[in-house]
Amino acid sequence: MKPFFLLFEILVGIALSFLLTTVFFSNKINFEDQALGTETVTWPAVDSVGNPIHILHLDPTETDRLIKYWHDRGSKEVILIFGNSQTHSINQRKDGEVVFVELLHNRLKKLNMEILSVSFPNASLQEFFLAYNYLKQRLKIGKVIVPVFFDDMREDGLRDVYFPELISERYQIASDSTELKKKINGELQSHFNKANPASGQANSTKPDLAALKATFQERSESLLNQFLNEHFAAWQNRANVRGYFFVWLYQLRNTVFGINASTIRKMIPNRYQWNWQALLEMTEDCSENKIDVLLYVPPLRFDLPIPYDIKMYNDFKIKLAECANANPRHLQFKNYESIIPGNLWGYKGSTNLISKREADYMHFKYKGHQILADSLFNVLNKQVK
Amino acid sequence: MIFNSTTFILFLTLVVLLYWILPGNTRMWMVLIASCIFYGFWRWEFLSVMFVSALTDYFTALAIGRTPDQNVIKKNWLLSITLVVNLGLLAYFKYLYFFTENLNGLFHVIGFTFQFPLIQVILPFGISFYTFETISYTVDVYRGLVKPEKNFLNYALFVTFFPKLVAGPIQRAAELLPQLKDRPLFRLEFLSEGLKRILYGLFLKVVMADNISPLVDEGFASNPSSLSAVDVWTLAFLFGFQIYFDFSAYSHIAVGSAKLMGISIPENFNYPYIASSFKDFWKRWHISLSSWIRDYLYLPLSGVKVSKTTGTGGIGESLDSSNRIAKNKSLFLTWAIMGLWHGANWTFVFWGLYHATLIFLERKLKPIRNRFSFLNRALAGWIFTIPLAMLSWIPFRAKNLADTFAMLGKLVNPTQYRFYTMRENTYLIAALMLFLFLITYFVDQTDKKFSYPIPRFVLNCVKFTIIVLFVFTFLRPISQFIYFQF
Repeated sequence: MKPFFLLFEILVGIALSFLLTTVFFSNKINFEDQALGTETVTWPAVDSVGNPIHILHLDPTETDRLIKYWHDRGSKEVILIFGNSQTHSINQRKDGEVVFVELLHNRLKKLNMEILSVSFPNASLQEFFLAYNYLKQRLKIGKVIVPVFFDDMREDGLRDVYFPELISERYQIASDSTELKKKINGELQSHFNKANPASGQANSTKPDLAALKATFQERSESLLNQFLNEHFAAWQNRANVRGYFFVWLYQLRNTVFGINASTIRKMIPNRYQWNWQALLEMTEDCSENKIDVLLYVPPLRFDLPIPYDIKMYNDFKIKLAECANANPRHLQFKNYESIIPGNLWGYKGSTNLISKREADYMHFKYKGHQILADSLFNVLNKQVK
Repeated sequence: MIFNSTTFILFLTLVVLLYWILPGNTRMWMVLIASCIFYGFWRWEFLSVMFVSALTDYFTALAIGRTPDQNVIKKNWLLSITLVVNLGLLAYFKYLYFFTENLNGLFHVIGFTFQFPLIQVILPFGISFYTFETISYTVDVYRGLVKPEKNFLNYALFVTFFPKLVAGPIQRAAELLPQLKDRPLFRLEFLSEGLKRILYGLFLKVVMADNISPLVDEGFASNPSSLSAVDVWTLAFLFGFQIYFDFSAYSHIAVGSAKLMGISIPENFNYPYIASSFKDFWKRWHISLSSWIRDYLYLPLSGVKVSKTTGTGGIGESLDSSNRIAKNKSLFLTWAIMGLWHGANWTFVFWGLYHATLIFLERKLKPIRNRFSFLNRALAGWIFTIPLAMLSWIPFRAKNLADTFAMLGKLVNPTQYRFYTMRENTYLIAALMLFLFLITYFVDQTDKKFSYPIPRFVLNCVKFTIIVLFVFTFLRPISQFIYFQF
């Protein structure tokens, strides 16, 4: 009787798991929006006729459209603004409200200046460095504006989802002269290898088949996956279930350890060094190419205790100012950390399983975007005069 | 073919169905063809390498079997042919680059300008495993422990049987050949046990090992000088769990796949991180390899006559040889070779010698250990054994010896314990893995004695629902099994 019961238990397990996947996990979730919370929306900037001036991925479609409309507007020298989700999202957005990039674009247009922006959620300076190297070949860059987020100094690695164009083109930063460039080029190559196991054709399912490089199984696995995706909803939902699981794990961890948006996060030395190096190499390259750089400390919420180790954060700001002062001809430094009052910041969905919402330290309301646009405009306007 | 793929699941389903439908020899021919397809899905041209090894041993074993016991010289010659061919294949495919690189390095040091050209050779999957199996078969025939197999189909199946072909468990002819000859009748137990083991294996691979892997990769990709001692310990434990989950997963799937066809292959793991000594550890970790090393390397080197052949028991033999120097020499030599078997890199030799040193010290300290009660000995032993066993994974995973020493050097510097440099999740997951491992062990040990308030049937249904849900969700061939590279 024992083997029969065991088999029956396994079959019940198989049936229940298919049922769970099909019925309970069928809603697709956008994990980028989930990370922003319900009060914040992604709203990239566009020009007066709705053409993109702000992209969130360097993929062939988005980048080509950005560059096409830039040509259509006369290929003027560009002020390129990098950023993270603060740059492309608005807290408690109402109709007609736009991000500071668009506000700045509209005002600078009158001064015959062109502005474009590239921002990725939780972007590391290494990703800015890569995007800068790539875009300087395709745009006429006159100035670069870099918000240096203390939070994002904890980030590392290049995320393939934000650089599909570079990966499919097998892009490499010219001259492997530094350890950082070697690291970034290595990661680009590794993403390319994962995306192109055998055929050299990029395919969104290929990273899942990375172990099958150039084998017969790569083809059979692709065909089987394609068939299962087309005919079984449960198979299609797998990525969704994985997403739910990791979000739940993240929330569980935060609940168990009492972590929330206000919890002080320590710096991760290795990642901090790589990001710092990326900033140094980017500013050096800009100076060599006579491109001006504006480094700024981004706005932070000060009506609540800030989630940083104060000493580390102060050291970081001093170091940033010193970096700019070392080359005053091309580098400028601004500290905008306290320009946006507390009432212009909002809340976001909870990151744990108990509370409903948490303070949002990254995304502010439209009026905050207006203040930041004004501050940046004043700096840029002075330089024009 | 990779176990953690939909292709394999489809392949296995078809093979098992045909296996139980087809009669007599047709069934076995089908398994042989299926095994060749299984291997050929990676690179079909390397099937020829496997058959060179297999055919050599088939004919030499037959010849040894026909040779009278008194004609020792002829038997030795025949055995030499087997060893030369199999070890030659291993040397060419696995060690050619390593040897020439080191030889060139040596030439450079002594002032020779001549350099051998460095040739990169593709390492055929599973070569370390199937060459060891064919060698053991011929040696067992030579020792008179098994009779040479005359039926080529049975013999070819012993070598190529797909569940254990690429990464073991390393099977002995005496254990597998009789099962291939006495074809079993279908029993429901084969299906239920086989499915259970395959599900356990897939869970360990696609849910556990593959999700630990990015943390380990990031840690070992860091510059060792920037890591702290806390980081090194964490990486040692994390990689220890990754490789255990990965390799034991492969063994579970291999055992389960064979079971579906009514064939038993030996267990390769038995909760290795619960070991209370290194002798105990090697009776629990990669049991089929350590048993092989014991029977075909360590005991012969120590001058002990091997009178039985079994893929169980591990390498924890403590010899009563009176010649202590010979005994210690064979211990260190065996472990250096064991290290080199894992990969053509000095890091693996270091790994082997590290284990040899710990076993040597353990033997020396045996009288002190024996003064403690069993419980204290087990607990104290575990507290010492586990961290040291985990540390051995540093050379196993590090890029080179310089990185290994840089990382191990951190551990003896007290100032390196005051900070950490990786994401907090990395430390958390390492601690969680240790906790879950111990919990699983204790639940497994006490499960049968414990009476649950909920019917066991319901609990098991919940358990399998969770396992299947995770396996179904995470099943992607994003990485190979770590032991494929060996």
